[in-house]
Amino acid sequence: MNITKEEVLHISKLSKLKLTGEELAKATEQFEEILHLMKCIGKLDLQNEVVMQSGERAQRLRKDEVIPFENTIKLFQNTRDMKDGYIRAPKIIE
Amino acid sequence: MEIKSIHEIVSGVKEKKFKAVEVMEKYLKNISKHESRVNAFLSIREEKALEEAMIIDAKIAKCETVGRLAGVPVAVKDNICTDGIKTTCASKMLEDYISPYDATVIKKLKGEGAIIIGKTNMDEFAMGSSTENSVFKSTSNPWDLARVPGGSSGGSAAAVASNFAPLALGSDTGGSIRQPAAFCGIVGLKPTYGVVSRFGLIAFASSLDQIGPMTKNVKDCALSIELLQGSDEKDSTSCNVELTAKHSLESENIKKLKVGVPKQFLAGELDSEVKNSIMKSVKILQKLGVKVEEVSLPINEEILSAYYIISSAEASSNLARFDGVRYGHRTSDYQNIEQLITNSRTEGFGEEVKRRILLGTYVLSSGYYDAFYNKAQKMRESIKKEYREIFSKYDLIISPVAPTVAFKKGEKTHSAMQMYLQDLYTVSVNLAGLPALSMNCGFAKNKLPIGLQIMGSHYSEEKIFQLAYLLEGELDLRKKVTL
Repeated sequence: MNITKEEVLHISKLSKLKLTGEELAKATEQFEEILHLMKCIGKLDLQNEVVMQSGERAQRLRKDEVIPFENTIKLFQNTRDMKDGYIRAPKIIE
Repeated sequence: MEIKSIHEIVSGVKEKKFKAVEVMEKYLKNISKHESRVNAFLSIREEKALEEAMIIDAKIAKCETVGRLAGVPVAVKDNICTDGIKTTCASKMLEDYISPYDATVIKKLKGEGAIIIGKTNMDEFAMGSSTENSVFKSTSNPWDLARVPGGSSGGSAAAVASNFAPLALGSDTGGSIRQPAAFCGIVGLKPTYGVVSRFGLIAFASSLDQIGPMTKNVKDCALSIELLQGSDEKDSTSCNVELTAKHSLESENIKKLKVGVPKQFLAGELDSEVKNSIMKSVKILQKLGVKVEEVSLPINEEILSAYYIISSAEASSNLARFDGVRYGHRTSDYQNIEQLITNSRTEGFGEEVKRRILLGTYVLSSGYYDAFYNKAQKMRESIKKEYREIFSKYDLIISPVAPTVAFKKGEKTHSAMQMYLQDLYTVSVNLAGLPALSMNCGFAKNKLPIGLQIMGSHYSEEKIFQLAYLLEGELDLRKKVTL
């Protein structure tokens, strides 16, 4: 056994995903199969490989300028709840 | 009016042989006849597309300038943002999302006079190889409706093959343009990383994703990449290269090229009919004077592992933004912020997306980062080095696209691993950032199309298109989908 249900449960909490008992069992089984494949990478000797941080060509960054997005109707068309030009967030009482 | 290519549409419309409206009506008619069986689209813009075609016709009537894609209907994968049209990623998470802006590729296409005919089905968030992971519907392969069109850009491939549009956009993170193109018997290009702007493409794995064209023939694909390419200040990984793919299709130099065929790609699990079809194309090229040699280029589980580690890690990070607070699906079942986020994500994402997020979180988590993620990044460097070496001796590489022809619906959904193995021949190109084209090279006994892949070094799209154009002309495959 490479991975336990408890480990998958821990990962699901980190991922902010909830798994039912059945889903957890299925996910653990599939994880096992996938990790079996992925573990083959551990056998490789890649000590001499240096990971490049940038791509094949250096990234070009644009100037850090504010460009107003004029069309506020479009901008807020996906917003569920607005009042007086403000987005209303769900009320959370912890 | 029989339309065979994008070139014919544009010249016909510009020369007033027929109207852009007539072209659009023709494609819409095909859609209304067959879409209920193919299910290529998630949304169709019937009225708007006709209105936009009328505008093109009016401009031509007034002798105004129109673009190089005047009146060309385009089907767009539903993970590419389109102003005012739903962009769902085939996910419950984004089922109501209407983008407030156009992706750079959409701006470019519209600027050239192309008209969006609809948004196409895909595997949810582009994760999958069969388009069966869409939360809305599963697309059928137009060559055999009981089979998958490939994925994740399966809707785009099926749309082009079914004559619903002469051009479609797809995105390719590990083969998502090339494998469906192969399964549906069309041409698809995954450009060099950076050639096409990713601005407005909803991210899956940012270091691997590329948008690319899917068309009926090589010439249309070459024209499309010329119009889609270009640096973009909104995508810092885009680069300033000017490919003239369409204008250099016919070149005598092509016969001086050295082409490698990796022996490892033709061994193992490869279907014998696929292998024979690839080798037939190789022989045709050799007869034409192209120097083709067998080469050694490893293809193995380690490469597939590196791909799934890196892509899942990036996906888990990219998809963290879907928290039910700012946009996307929001649960009604919550009492605190933790429940709001967790329940929204649990309800909004499908099974495969959850699996990749879990995998990505696992390989990035404390204690496993070095064993998996770091090792995969080093493996990626090693793959790049191998390709650099091989392209110092050879101009292009020919290989299969997928181990088999299109498989039956439901055949691989029981096992994530079986589905992942579909990507064996395509993922290394994404890891190395290289360009690769998929084209039809023949048909199996069951009449399904077989795909062939041509890979090249960075920014070698022109050479790829030259070889593909030469082969396409010689193969002269004229079979058409009968729906």
